[in-house]
Amino acid sequence: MTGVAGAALMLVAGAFVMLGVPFLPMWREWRHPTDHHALAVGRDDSNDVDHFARRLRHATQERVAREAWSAFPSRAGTPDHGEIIAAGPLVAAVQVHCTRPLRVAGDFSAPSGSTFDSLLVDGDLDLGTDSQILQWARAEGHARLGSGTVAVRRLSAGREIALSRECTFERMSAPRITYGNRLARPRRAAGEGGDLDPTTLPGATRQAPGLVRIDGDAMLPAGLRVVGSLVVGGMLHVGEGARVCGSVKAHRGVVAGRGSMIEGAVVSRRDIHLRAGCEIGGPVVSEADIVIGEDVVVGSAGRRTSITAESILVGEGTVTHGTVWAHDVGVVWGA
Amino acid sequence: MAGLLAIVVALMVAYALRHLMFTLNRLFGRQRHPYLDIDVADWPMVTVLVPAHNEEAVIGGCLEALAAVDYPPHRLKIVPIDDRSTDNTAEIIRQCQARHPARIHPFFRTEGAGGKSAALKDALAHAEGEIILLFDADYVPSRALIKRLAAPFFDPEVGAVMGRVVPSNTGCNALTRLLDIERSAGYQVDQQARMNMRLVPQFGGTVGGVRRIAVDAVGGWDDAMLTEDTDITIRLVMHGWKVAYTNRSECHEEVPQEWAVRVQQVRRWSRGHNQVMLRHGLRYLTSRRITTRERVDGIMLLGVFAMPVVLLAGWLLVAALYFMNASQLLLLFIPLLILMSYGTLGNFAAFFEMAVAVLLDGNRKRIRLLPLNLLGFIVSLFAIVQGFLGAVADRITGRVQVWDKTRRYRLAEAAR
Repeated sequence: MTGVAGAALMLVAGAFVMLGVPFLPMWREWRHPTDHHALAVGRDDSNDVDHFARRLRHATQERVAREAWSAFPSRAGTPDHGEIIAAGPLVAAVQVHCTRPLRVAGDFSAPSGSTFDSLLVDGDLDLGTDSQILQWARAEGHARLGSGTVAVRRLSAGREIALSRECTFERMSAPRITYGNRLARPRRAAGEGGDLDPTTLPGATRQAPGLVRIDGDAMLPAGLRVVGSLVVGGMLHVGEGARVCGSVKAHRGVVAGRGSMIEGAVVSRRDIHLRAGCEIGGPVVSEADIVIGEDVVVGSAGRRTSITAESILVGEGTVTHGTVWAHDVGVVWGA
Repeated sequence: MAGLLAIVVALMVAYALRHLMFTLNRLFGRQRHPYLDIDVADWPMVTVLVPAHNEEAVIGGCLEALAAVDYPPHRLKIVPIDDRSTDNTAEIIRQCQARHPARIHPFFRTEGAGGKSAALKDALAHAEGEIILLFDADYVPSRALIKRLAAPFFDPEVGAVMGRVVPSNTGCNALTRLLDIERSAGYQVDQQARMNMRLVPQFGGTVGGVRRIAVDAVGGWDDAMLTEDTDITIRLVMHGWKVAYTNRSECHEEVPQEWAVRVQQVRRWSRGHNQVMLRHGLRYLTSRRITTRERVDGIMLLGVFAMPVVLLAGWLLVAALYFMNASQLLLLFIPLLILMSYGTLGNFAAFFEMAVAVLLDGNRKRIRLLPLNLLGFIVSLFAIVQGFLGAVADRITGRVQVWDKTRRYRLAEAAR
């Protein structure tokens, strides 16, 4: 019995010790706080695409006034530290590999195969084919990228970004972004075939004024116009030349047919296909991929918008206005 | 009785698994932030409502921050609602309006039912546009916050959006440190996991917003509800709308610095939450507009403030079985009783959630305070049970709720 009582006592004591051990560091942290600060929430917290460009501009503004280079050194190579500044327009005659932040207070052009870490150009930027931007680039005027150029991370322009075929991008922002060669195809007005009451579609119910919910897949016939927004449980096909005067969301994907128009947002958990010639007001948001055909227009000069997805493939002749953000990869493809 | 105990244990296990799933999802699952990248858009008209009753200590800071946000000026209307304040709240609001006449348009409420819900309902008449954002008076929004909260509404299925509430007075005392850990778990893990898994993130009534036609379509604000945020969340979801949680939409708030205030707050949450459960639970379960996962998660969300009652019932059942010498039955449930121990001391999964949340926030040593959260759990347990019983009594007697606001601690703003 003594043995049993002793064992029981040890068990209880052991349990108390095990339960009590965590209270020792707790006591220390409570009495002498070492980690008690509020989580920082920056008042000026911003995910602005031009954040780094503004920082470089601010850091180099004074030096721009003092230093004057008119051409790159003939030999490839850069200083060990600090920014490189050209106080006027710059034309690189040979391939450039620049691992330091570069600011050019004017227009800048570099030949094929050039590589830049970060680049701020106060005028227009012209990069030859197969160039690379490793961190970010900003041009206050136009940014023109030759075919095969890779612009990872951030790329922005004050006026326009022009991407050639097979350019790769990640996050871009400009009032106007063009992809490949402009295709001079005439546009036909969408929705000319008459109005369609979306509640007549199979599985449709009116959820609220201006919003119809459709269970399952939905197909909007070609050429017709729908006034209001749609939420589709399955996949949404917008027929050729059809028009939606509102936003659409489809859980299993959206296909906007040739020449169709969606005036508002296009949202889906799955892929979004914008076929050739369609016009979208935006934003366009996919949790998967977006495939944009040729000659598509997203947004407008007066209504810039955002396109965001894991991967974004863009066909030639497409024009977007605002931000395009591919988390994985964005590519300009052409026939 | 053993059967009842088994039900109690099963419920505890279900909640444990739920929280474990949330934590593992945050650690290893795919994180969903579908609207975060909308940084350029034709931004919709937004009205920001700021209900205020005797908020002289904090209202000025909130309004100045709102006036400085990065949002198209012609698309933003700020409506502070002075709800019959007896301190300097009204005067401070007028001064803010004088400094920002284009953005701030006060509503001085002089009649009507008491409480935040009733004030919001009346203030809607002064709102413009489709999107209504809500901030409590003690919040200080960052410049980017309005855009981040407005972005999800481009999705036509979104009826409400919720941002993240972050305590600002974390280091004040032990209570605020514990509440900071709890809030971290609630948002950084719980809410985000529910967003990731397409469950039911909850609209919290502040640092968030609603779509006006959605609220109208489900019957509008119910000013008889103590927790109008839970009420509108459930009604929106069961009518087919989605609630979006945006983890990057962070805003500082004050958490209670005194236990008495904390108990009062938890009691109100429990009473209101259980009121919603009693009113809408069955309709929610049978709604045809929700997915299976939303159904399960939504019911569990509604039951969160009833679980402590279940836990207490479990304790009583165990005690009763012991004194009834039902030792044979008890032996059969030994493994389950071990799990009950987790529930007795505080659901292990909840503490795991807190620890992971603290790490995801980039903190470390404050995890050492987790055993102290046991104390918080015990205190909350009884406050929640009180609230639950109050909700049941209200339902039976038809008693009308009286909203009591949480005390503020910031020093009163000097008159400018």
